[in-house]
Amino acid sequence: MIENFGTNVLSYFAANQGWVHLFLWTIFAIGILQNLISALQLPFAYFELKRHSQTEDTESNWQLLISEEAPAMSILVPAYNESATIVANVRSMLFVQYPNLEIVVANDGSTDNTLDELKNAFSLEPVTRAHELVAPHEPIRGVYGSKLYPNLLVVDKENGGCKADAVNAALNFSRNPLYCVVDADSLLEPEALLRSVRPFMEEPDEMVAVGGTIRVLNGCTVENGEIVKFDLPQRFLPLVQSMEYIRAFLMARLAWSSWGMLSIVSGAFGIFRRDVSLEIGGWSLDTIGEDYDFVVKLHRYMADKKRAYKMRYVPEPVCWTEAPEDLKILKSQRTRWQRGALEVAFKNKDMVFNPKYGKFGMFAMPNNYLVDVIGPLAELIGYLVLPLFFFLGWINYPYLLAFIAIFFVFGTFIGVSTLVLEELELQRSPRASDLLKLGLVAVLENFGYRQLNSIWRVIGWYQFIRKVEGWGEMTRKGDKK
Amino acid sequence: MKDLIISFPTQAFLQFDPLVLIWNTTLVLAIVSCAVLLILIVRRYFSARRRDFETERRKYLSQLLLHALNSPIDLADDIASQIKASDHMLLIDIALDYVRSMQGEEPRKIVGLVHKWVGIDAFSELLDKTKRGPKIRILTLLSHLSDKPSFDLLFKYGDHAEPYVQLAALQSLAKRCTPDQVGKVLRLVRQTGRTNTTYLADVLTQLGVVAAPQLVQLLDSDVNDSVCVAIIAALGNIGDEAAVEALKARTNSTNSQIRTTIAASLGQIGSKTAATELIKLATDGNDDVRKAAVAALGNLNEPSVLPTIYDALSDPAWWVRYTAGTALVRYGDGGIALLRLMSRQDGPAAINAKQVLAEYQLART
Repeated sequence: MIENFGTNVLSYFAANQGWVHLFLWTIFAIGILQNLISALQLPFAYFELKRHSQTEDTESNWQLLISEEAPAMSILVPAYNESATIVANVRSMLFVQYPNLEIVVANDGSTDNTLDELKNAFSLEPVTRAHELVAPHEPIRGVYGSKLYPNLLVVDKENGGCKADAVNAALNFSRNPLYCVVDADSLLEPEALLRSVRPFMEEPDEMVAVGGTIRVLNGCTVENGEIVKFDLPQRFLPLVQSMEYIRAFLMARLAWSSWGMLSIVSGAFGIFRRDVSLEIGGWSLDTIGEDYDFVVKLHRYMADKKRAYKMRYVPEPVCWTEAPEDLKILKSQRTRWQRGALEVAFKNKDMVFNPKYGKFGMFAMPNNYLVDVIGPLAELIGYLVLPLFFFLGWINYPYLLAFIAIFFVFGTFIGVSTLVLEELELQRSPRASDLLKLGLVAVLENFGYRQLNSIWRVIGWYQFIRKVEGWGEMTRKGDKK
Repeated sequence: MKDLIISFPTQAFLQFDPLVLIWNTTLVLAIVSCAVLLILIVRRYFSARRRDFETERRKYLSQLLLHALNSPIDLADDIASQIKASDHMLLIDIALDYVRSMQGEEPRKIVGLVHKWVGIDAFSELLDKTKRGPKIRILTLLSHLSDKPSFDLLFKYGDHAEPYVQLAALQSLAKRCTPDQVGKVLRLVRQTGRTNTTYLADVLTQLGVVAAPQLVQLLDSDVNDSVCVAIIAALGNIGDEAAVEALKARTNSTNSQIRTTIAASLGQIGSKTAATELIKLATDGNDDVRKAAVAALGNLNEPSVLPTIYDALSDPAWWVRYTAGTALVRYGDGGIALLRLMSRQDGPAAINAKQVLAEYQLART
């Protein structure tokens, strides 16, 4: 039956050359367009970096720290079954350099001993805390404070089935005008908050969200919740993710930030205005891509209310997170990201090419559709169809080779160019050999990893159509000392 | 059906083979990628070696500095001959690190030694040549000197276009200026464009109570809203009652951030003469303004404002209600009695009052 279907399709193509032309051209045009947008991002990312660079400016951060003038901030830590890492990570957050900081951990009904670990490590006791009930979440089971650490609050709640539910609970209990969402498995660099709060101090009326950089923690040496030695991962899978993160943050987000059209502030490390977050009803519980959804919701709300607003990506503050080390977990993460992206895209389809939403509606949302909705399908079809047409003798060998070469080399070019931005600003991979490794990874990822990602994203598409829900498998090694 | 792509329309429009174009582009991209990677690796290799060298040199210079500092005889001139021009920025960094962790006269002595070894001309040259970060560090270090040339150098950068460089210069000037120089320093602030408002407020606060009248004057001049907010916040931090009338006069500002800051500053100053204006701001259309005003009323220790705070317990905004609760707690038994009264009623205001009372009782135990 499948053979018949294949034969029929091929016969149809053979009989309808015009359609084959159109199909090939469309796939080709999508690829070219995505690459052109990437190429365009590079110079803008570079100039944005030069404009707002905080490299070497440690003195201003020190002055902010001792002046105690920086706006008060809450770190919100949604935690679900994080017993392996929670104590070390909360401890690292307690020592983040910031003059006026509270940490609100929301234990999202963990089935392991996350809460007990916290109780023991920080001598928690039940407390009463007046709080708002604006953002929706599952019922609270208890609130705990620590006499040893007065700026630590732990909110124990019933499991909400999604990260947003825990963030909302922590958000309701937080008391400061700004809040930072940090994943429980992530480590903030000590100066991260001082660096990322600056846009809020420069434009307090308009700034609503600021995103920082996420980097792969695997390979680094961590002691007492602090990174004592930066290193690249030894294994290929987290190493290639290191390169992916560098490219995604240092190039794409920086460029979109410079255009004033930032679509996403990572849920693993982002700073937001509390009042505006509550005005939009907190974080949505009906999507798996809660960070992307939240930022798009902010754009929609501010545009609907005709309020001037800004969002910015600041590359210098870095949050380190553990990347999946095996294919099964990575697949689960990527299919989930794809489902989340599709949910947000279709939920907000009215914003696409809608002048009411300004340049975000006219450019950013269509780009998101191109990258998240059409991109994975076009890429996979491209991978399948071009060789197929070659074997059928419809494309000659020189053209097949030329197209494959240009797409692969272009991918490498973008990856290597992003390393220039890394060299200019972050330099978190300290040795020359690290750059060589990352450069080689930028080449190697084109042969297998990129295609695997396309397949996972299409699986994510399929799961989205089938309305598959849930976060899938995600385990932590918890090998921090 | 063969060679579909050969018949792509590009060939009809362009007088060259697209295949050649694709291969040439690929070749250029590949060469550029390799070249960029190679340059980065070489650069990183040498910068790592330079960093290692600097670390060693830094240790040596630190020892020299401590020797000079702790020696019973003056070693400064002997050591000066060992200092090279390439050491200047390292010395500045070392001195800043020490200054941060020392108190009393020692920071001034350290900076004095560095000043002697580097010299004002070299400071000036470094300020001209270096990027934002080093500029800020040099300007910060100059705050510990007291000579006129370094003050003039700071003054030169007091209206720098780069906000954080300007703020560093202003902060150093604020630490150093005498009362008769305050006006001169504040004139630099007048032209400030884009800035970090809260940082500027902190800088202006450091000018102290002597600057209050001139800050009020500056408020009357044509400064932008960011600077205006910084001045108002600084006046609140300084806490001079003489500023109250100027602040009261601006409570009708159309900018909600200015109104919020005025309310907060009036609360910090704590002048009972501002009660009428704060009561008015407690019914403002903006939540932040009402919250700041209610918090300020809590600081006045003026029983006549209690009804306004009590009314704020029923405000539609949670934060205003909560702030009203905590403001009442500050009034002692009278305020607590009002909170208890509210807690016996129904609705969100009562729930809020109960929560504030519970928090208060927990804090007492």
